Amino acid sequence: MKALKVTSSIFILILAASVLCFAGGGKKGPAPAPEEKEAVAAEDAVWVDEWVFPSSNIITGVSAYHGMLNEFGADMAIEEINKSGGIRGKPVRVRWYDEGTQDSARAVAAMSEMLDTKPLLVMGPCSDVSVRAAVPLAVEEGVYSMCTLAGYPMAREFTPWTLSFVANDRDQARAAVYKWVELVPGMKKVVHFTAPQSGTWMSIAEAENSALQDHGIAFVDIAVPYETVNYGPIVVRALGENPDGMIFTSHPEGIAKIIVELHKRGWTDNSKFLLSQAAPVPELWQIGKGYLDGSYVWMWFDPNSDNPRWQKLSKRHEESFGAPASFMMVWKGYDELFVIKKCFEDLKITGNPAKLDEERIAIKEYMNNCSFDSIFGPVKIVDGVRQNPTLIFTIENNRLGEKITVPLEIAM
Amino acid sequence: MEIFVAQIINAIALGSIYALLVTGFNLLVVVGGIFPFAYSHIVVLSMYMCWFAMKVTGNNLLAGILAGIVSGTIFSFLTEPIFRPLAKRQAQLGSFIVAMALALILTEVMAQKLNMGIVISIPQNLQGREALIKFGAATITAGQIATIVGSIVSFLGFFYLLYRTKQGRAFRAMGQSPFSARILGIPIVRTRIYSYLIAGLMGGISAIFLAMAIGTASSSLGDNLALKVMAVAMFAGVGNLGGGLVAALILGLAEGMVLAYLPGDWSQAIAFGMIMIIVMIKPRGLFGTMV
Amino acid sequence: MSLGLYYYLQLTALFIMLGWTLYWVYRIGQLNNAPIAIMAIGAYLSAYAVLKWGWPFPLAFAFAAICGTTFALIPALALGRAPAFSMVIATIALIFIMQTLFRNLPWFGGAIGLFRIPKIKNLLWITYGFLIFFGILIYRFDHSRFGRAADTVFEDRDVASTLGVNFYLFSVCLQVMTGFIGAVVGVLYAFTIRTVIPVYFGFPFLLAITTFIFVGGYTTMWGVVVFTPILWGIPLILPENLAVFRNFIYGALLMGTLILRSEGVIDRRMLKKLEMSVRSIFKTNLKKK
Repeated sequence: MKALKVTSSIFILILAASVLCFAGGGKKGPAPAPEEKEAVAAEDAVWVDEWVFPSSNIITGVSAYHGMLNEFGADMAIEEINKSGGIRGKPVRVRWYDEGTQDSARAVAAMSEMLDTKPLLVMGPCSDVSVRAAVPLAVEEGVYSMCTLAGYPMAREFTPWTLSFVANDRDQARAAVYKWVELVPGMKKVVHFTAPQSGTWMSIAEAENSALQDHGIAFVDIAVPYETVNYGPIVVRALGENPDGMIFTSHPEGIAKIIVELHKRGWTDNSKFLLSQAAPVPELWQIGKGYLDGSYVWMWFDPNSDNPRWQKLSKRHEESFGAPASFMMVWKGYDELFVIKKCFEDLKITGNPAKLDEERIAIKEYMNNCSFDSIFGPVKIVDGVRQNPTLIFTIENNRLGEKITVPLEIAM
Repeated sequence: MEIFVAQIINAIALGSIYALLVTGFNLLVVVGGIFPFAYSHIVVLSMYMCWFAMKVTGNNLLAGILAGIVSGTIFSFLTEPIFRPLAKRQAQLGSFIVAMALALILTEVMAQKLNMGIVISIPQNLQGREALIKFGAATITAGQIATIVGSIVSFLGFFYLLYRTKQGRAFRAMGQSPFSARILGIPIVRTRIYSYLIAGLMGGISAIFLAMAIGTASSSLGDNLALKVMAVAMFAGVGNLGGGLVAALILGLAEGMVLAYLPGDWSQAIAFGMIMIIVMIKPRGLFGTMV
Repeated sequence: MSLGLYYYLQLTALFIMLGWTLYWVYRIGQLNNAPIAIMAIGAYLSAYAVLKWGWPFPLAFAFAAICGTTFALIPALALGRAPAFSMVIATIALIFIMQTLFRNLPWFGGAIGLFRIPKIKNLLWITYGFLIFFGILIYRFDHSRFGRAADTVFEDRDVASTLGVNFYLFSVCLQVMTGFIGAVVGVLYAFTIRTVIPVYFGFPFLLAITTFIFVGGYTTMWGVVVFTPILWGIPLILPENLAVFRNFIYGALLMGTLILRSEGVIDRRMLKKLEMSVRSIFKTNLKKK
């Protein structure tokens, strides 16, 4: 009896380990075409019953909120697409995989699971850290990844296998600074609050500094650590430099607190502030309320857009999260699905496993240079990079107010 | 000169925040017999409760303060059964690991469920943003004054409790030897529960002062504070009350000065480096462990 | 082999080795987190040697392992006699210091780190080779006089010293050995993920490894071996709508295990019972024959 117990325990352990090794993980890949479909009606007939797109998302960890926004936008797109007949007549679904928060191992594990489902393309990863770790796998497998949040260094590294919605942020950052210097003439010295823990933001900060250099404006970089609880020392240091202006390329909470501290210490001219594109998120408005008016913010999308689709998303976002949408995470998932829809319909993607390689290459070629109707209106993608405008807003009544469109050529 | 003075004030305010937290931390170490890594997370959770209470009551200050203090006390009390088996076994290292697990759960709760993971901003009527004293770049805000005064008052109150009251004697006896304390007739379980309640009360008060001084809270704040509080406690000597206060101020000064005068984001590295060196030279802390 | 299975096997092997670094020094009652910091050194130096100096992988591997191990000596000498908590804090501090160093030193790419690390053929075999090698090493240690000495030290340091155990030397040696393992794991990790960023080697990593070892069992080397694949594999088998609870599950498992079964799921008593049961099965079968 004892022997039986022991043997069965060992057996169960081995079985559990084997199941874990080979388990499919409760996920569904694209529904395989049944054998009976052998005699297809037309070469471009759709083989799947449902389009399932694997997406790497931040589901757990301190940045789970970003993942929630991503899902929010994607869910709205799925609803609209399925209501209008899906993609080539078949409904759409996104299968979410957790990449964790700044967890390279988890990101790689998620990507490898996604790639095992033999997808036509993958959505995500979201964060820089995960993109850096996981996208090389997709590139090697010949799968296109829509890591639309990837900043310039990442996008350049993986082109033509990735699509980035932000990637020419270097050119845009330079254009923004050029315009700001024009709007606020006479500056000789600028303090630049940077985020050394973020590769993408440091890349933007470098671009902004180069634009300042072009104008002969001296700059002093002051790092804003994520984990600090008191911004007083940084602010006093900044004021000690006697700057004429300040640029903020850091996390929104830090930016808001720094601006509040600056006001406490006597700084009153907000027009001398330029906030970088990641800034306008709920934290900024909540923390900085009453202290931000008059500041300039540069963005590459317009949260005040009157496009009805954007208005609808923003309204729903306000109902769910208590504030209008202003963060890219909200609409990136939405636009990703619509560009996929257009791509699949234009190329007449079938999902036929026999044509997998051919269709993957076709998707890659298409995505690198295409145009589609984004949530903000028509948008072009050139060499895997979304062509975004550079917009400078003035903050009015704790919201983005007057808008100036800045041509990129201004900084070239 | 005024810049330097401003930096000193900032640094003292920063150190006061750490001092507030390390006092409650040390109580749980000494009496509870555990290593409460999750103490800071409970304090941050109390900040969330304060914010929530103010939100639902239309920014009522009293409601916010009461909610913060009461929730801190209750949350701390609720963790007592979790740590009791470990305290009985005197498994301090085990309690540290359990506290890490608790911190992980609390962080996830804040990241996913509370305010949907968005950073919370404490209403302005609780935040002490207004500069009360100003001279050039140097300002002292109401929040900073409250934090500094609050930490001194907390420390004095705690000192009085520990050294001038019967309950304090019971706490110290338990900290020295739970076995002997039991023999002497001290109700172990009840005393331990009291320590959790008092630590929770101090945590709740700390949450209010933190809300005034920092003005925001997020899911990652717990981890940031916990590591620093733990480091301060080790720096001073675990359980050393007076040492903890001094060490908190030293750490706050070091971090503040680095933020103020050195390039890059070396503040955390230097703060931890200091702690590492002290721990290497004096493993029992700068001032030694003490009950 | 599918990609998912490859990375599952690769990453679990690396986590098992990291878990052993914690286990090995904990044999004498010290919780040493320095291997994670040493891992960063191994990863960065090997990646740098390959990418910037063009060294072949074996040479870069040896270089990084030697440097990491040498570096491990520094905290080891300082923390040899440290009480348990002092070592915990000091080594956590070391992790943050390493992160900041690599983020701010210009040669290592800053926050962007090093990338385009080349793929190494047969990396899985190399990894499992080291896994088996370290496994044998730790097994032999456990079943030798050193293992018995470690048991004594764990129970009572003073008694061990009266029996002639030089605790300081013991601690330093174990820390250096685990530093070596950490450096090796760092190299293998860099060539698995093929990119190295400072934030990779931080507190969340430590939390994960701690969960694996303390749930699995810290009194034997087998706890980590059995439970790392299970715990790492949990998110793989969780239904999609439960993936959000991953960290809750880890936290609850860790808490539950330490409260209900302080030595972890697989402790020495269980292993002893298992061993005796297996022996009795074989004896019974032999008798029948």
